[in-house]
Amino acid sequence: MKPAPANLTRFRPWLLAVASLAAMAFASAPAAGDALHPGGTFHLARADDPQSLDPVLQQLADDFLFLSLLYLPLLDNTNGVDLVACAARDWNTSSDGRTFTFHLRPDLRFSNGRTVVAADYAYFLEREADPRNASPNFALLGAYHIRGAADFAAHRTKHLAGVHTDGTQTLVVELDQPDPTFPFYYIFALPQEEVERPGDAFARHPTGDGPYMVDEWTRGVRLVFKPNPFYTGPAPRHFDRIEIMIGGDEATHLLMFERGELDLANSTAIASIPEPDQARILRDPRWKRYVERSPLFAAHFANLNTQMPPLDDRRVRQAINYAVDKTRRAASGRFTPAKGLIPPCMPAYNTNLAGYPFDPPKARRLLAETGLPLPLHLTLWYATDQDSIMQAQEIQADLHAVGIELNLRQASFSELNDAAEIPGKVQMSLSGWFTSMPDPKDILGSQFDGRTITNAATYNTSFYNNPEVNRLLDEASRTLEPGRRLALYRKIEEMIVGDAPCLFLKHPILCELRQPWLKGPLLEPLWPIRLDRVWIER
Amino acid sequence: MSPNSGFFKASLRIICANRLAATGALIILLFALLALAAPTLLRLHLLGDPNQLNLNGLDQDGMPRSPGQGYWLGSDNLGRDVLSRVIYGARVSLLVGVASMLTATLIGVTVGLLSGFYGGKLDLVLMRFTEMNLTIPSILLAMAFTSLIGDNGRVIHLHPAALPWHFLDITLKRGMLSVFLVIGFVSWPGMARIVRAQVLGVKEREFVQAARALGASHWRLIWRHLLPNILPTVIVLAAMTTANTILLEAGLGYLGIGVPPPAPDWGTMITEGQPYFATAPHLVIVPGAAIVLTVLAFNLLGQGLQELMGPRQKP
Repeated sequence: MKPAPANLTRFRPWLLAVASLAAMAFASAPAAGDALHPGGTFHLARADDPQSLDPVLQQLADDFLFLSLLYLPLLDNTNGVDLVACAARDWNTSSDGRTFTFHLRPDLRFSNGRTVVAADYAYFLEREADPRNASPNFALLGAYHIRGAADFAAHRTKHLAGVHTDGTQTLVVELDQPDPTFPFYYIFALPQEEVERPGDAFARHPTGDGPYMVDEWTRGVRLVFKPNPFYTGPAPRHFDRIEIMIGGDEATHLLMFERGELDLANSTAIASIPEPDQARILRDPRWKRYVERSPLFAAHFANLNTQMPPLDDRRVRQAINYAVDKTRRAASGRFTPAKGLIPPCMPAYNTNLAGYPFDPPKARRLLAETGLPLPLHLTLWYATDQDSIMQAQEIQADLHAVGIELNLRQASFSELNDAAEIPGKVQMSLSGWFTSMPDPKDILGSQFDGRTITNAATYNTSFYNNPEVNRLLDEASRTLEPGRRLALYRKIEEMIVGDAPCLFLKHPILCELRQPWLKGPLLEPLWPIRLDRVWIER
Repeated sequence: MSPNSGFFKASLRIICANRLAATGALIILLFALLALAAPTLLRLHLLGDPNQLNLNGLDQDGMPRSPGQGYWLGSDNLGRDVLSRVIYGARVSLLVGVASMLTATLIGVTVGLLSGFYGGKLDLVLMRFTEMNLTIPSILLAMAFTSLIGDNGRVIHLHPAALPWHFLDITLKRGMLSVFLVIGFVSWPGMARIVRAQVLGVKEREFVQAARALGASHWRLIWRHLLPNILPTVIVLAAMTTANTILLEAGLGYLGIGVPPPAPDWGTMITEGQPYFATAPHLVIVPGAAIVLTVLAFNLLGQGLQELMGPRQKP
């Protein structure tokens, strides 16, 4: 698993105008792969079981590929930025950008045979908004300010005031403030009668309206999907069966792939073909044509805890940024060196951002200006995966050259995340953010809004608090006009980069290897591996 | 001529008299000389910096360079010189291995001597404790100790908690000191048992009985009569224990709980090189060969010494 699969949530955004146009264009358009390519068993392997198959409890970006098999979202997207109708026949947005109306397809049915109705989507939103369910998406949904969400969360009301249905086929969602990114939030239908079965039955054998349903799930061994007999969704179903072997590591999976036992070499959106094998694969005439790359809406960085000395001095943080060479190993084509936070493939990317070029003399000058006695001693926490280990040692060597001795502290991914969220505990930690939308609101607002620093856990693991940035985040979030919105977010990014609450490292590029017989679009920058869009053609 | 030079000449003669011991000693000497000379070789630019991430250390695909492509033993996954890291790794392995052996020998000989000489309840307690330690695989015990120390270190109070004798506090941080102490603390039980067995035999011999009859103190009996007579066994055991401690140190490094980076460590080098085995096997083979050679050398030395000293132990 990658160092810090940041926002381990799911969903995405972008401009209202694009969304509306896309809705009109795609609502009546034939679905991708309209020509049917049915049949065959798709084989995949992954190291671990999914956390849950309940979309409310699902968190890791890794697990999204399962959700796309089991559930149909109201709206989906292509290329990471274009919204397309899915379970919704069409949708519209009010002129003030606060009210969203979704009209459902009339013929959708769950895998238990029941017809899908608008109330099933309202139930999904209420489950996510209820803190008793401990949904990992609670904060993400909260950022949209659905009307009445605070009262509902405090149990002062029984339902979300801003979510209501108009008959069985129309869902209306009202926000307290305009937000053009709301359509990118994935909303699924959940059958209440199935969810409320005792125990974790639904999380293990969920009932959805997607093309597949769970046939067998033996933890640590196998997860098998079979066709949902009542599926009537807009996109064709391509497989008779999907078998996912659980266990083994990425190197083992690659060997299985090369023997033809798997259809995809890598099954996780936050990893790629193992780096040690990439060059070999790219030189191999048998495989090199089937290597596929996609930049991701993601950023990798090291948090610099702005509340812990000596990192509370901006010059020290800037010096760290100048001291580290971000271009090393870029030749592998697995990442783009980062100048800031917004990835180059995202519409808001700022080509004029200077960032911190590799400049050790400048780093030494900045450190000298602080008057702090050298060497400075800092501790960097990092996860146990190969990429983090290499990254940590590179940073250690670069900082040593300018007079900073870095103590390396390895920890499991969950230990690292938990520790980084505690104020005053972690000086530096390797981290990252996989954004849930093609809009900077997620990557900038979730991590750098100083008002999210509380005694409780926070995504703001740099403990960065700049009142002006906070104010601009509010303003940008409410802004509907696309040009103005992007300009605001670019300004915010410039301010954050100037304050250097992170060591900005890289934007990952997913490198996937598919079998020659696997056809169809697979990789996307937002939710890269889409099994619902590929088929086997031998 | 000083008595020391006489001792060294005698030792050299003993070692040269046995081919196994001589081979082992030669390999150890070679590694030791390289390890000692490494900083000088670095200053003379005959050796690269083991922690330097060289820009040309990776090929156009960002992969390690094979041996010969500007680096005698190739470069690693971060572009560092493997030859330099192996030589600097010898400093870590030999230092930790020998220091651990000394720690284990000190504890093992002390426990074995006391247990064998005094017998009775002390023997019972010490030997049951020793056996308890023997039942736990040393790598597991070492992992447990290492995790107790943790990455942030641990303060060990060598005084009663009620007394403010903080000058007796020892702060153990993850590093060479903690690693050799940990390995030393898990490597003594085997030696203690053998030393005890030797002491049980020697203390019944006539010259010991005679000294006892003449009123020699316990200290004198142990120091002047028992210890010199079990010394050959201890030396053989020490050589073989060093092979084990080096292997254990590499094992801890392989598991990621040995000497922390960026210190070059053979076990860590293997861990880091393992994913590249298909494309850059030198990352595993070179440090692996260094471990095999060193461990083999200490075992050969120990075996040779045993052959040389064994007959003298016969009554």
